[in-house]
Amino acid sequence: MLRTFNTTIMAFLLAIAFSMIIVLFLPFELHNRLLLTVVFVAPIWLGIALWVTQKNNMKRMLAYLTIALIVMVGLIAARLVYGS
Amino acid sequence: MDLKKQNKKNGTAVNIKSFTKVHRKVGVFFMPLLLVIVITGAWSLFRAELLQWQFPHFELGESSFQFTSAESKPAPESKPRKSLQELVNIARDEHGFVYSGFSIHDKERYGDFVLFFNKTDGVENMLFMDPVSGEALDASQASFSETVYDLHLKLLLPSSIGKYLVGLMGLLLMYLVFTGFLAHKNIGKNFVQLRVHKGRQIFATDLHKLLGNWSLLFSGLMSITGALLGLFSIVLLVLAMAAYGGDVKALFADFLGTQPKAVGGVADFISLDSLYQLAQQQWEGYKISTIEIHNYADPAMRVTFEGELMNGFITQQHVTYDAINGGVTFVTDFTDKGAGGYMYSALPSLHFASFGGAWLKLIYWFLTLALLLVMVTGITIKSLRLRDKGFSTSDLIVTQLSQAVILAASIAVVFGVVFTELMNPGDYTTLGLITLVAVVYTLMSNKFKWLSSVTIAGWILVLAGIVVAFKGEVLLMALCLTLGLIWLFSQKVGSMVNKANLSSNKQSSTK
Repeated sequence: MLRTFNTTIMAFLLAIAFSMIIVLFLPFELHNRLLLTVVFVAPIWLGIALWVTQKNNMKRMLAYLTIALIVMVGLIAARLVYGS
Repeated sequence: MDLKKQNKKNGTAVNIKSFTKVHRKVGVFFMPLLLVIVITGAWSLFRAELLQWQFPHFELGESSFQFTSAESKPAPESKPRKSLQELVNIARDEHGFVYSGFSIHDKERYGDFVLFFNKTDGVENMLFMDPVSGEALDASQASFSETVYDLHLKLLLPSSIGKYLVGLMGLLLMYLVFTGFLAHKNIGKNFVQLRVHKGRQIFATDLHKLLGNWSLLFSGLMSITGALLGLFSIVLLVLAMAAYGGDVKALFADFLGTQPKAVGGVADFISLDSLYQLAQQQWEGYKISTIEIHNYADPAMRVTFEGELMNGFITQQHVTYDAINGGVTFVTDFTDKGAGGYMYSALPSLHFASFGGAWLKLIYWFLTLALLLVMVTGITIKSLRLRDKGFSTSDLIVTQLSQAVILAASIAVVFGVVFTELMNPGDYTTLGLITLVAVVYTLMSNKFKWLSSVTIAGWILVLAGIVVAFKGEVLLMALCLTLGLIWLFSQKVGSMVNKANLSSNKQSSTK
């Protein structure tokens, strides 16, 4: 159960990070990007959660997810600081 | 790692066993909460009807202001409905609804009642009014339909916490639906296979898979849209952080416009009915459902009309008028926001089934029943697997709670809409008492081998359905009967499985 919670929360954080990348980087109009993000958060979360479940190797997965999250946070921060 | 090796041996690319394991554990553990949300969600589809079944003495008029204009004539026997402005005046003068900012909800969600709504300092003030006589529901009578909806929306918890919890349950339901789908090898076969004569144990499993697969799209859609609606504010916070420097208000203002502060004093304003007519002409096929009024009778008065555009795509459109000079101050048009606009604005309509009539709601109802049956047969399969070992304490608690939820929901519905004079389960204390009775009965029935709670729930609903049939309420009868029969059927499957299990035990021991 604890593992499921770990995956759930981690996947949710990652999904939100993904969404922020959509908001910041996609070449559409701002409103369109925002609304698309709202629509896609849950499916992205589901995708990550299913993928993690299927790998079934929690330690390695948590490491992957943490690295992915750090990279994304870096990307978002870079865009917020240097972006127009 | 063992699982991985096994899967490699089987030659399957997907790690099926890990899906099955998670599906079982998560499914059983969250069953009571999910049952509460799904059952109340099913009844919330008929939110408007619940209100009218509970208070049948109101003679209600047409359900929309659209038909009050002079050209369209109401049916001769029905009394004409008061105009929008008249109703607002009555609400202010006779019922003391004197807030400067409030909204008026019309149309299906509240049936033929008109709801005046205001939220001041976190306290919600509601006034349900009969649009024909201007008579209001007694404020001391809690409405069952609102309690059911609150349970579905936020489990009666403080607004944000409850919504997040329900949103998370939506995510989990979505996770369960898809892990369940992926946990089987022959997915195509599961759509058609129902082995009736190969032992009842196989029958229960087949039924679970068959119904699960066919209702997959619906349950997936409901859980995704539900999760999004519940977790909306978290997502908004994040988006505002990325695009508006953390200013959520700026995000809202960009989409919905800002309303000016009250200037003070009284000004003559254009009648709400005229503004309503203007708003209707804004888009073709525009169906207004909510009217928001800001700074009533103030020189800075604004009126926002919210509704759906039924032009093939369902989109939520808003238009705001300056009530003093009739000019448009802000328009939110989701059709000009690209694919994101169309997809986003279809979400709530898809979840609430607000784009169709009674038939669509019935279709949603039956699909929800399928989902409920999938959930209950899931528990049956679980109990079957554990029959020899006995339940672990946590599983035992969770299963009994699920039974109690089903019983409590049935009792509440019967008192909420059929025998309304006896007690009002819209009241939280009464609802709590009903739940307590259901929990106690479930514990006793499991200890003393009485009739199971779910069977009782089924019979209660079936009997209520028969009583209602004599009153001539066809829709309510259909709902009660179908839900009751589903509970009875699920128990039938359970007992069939138990019987079948005895013989299979014998067979395995002889082998």
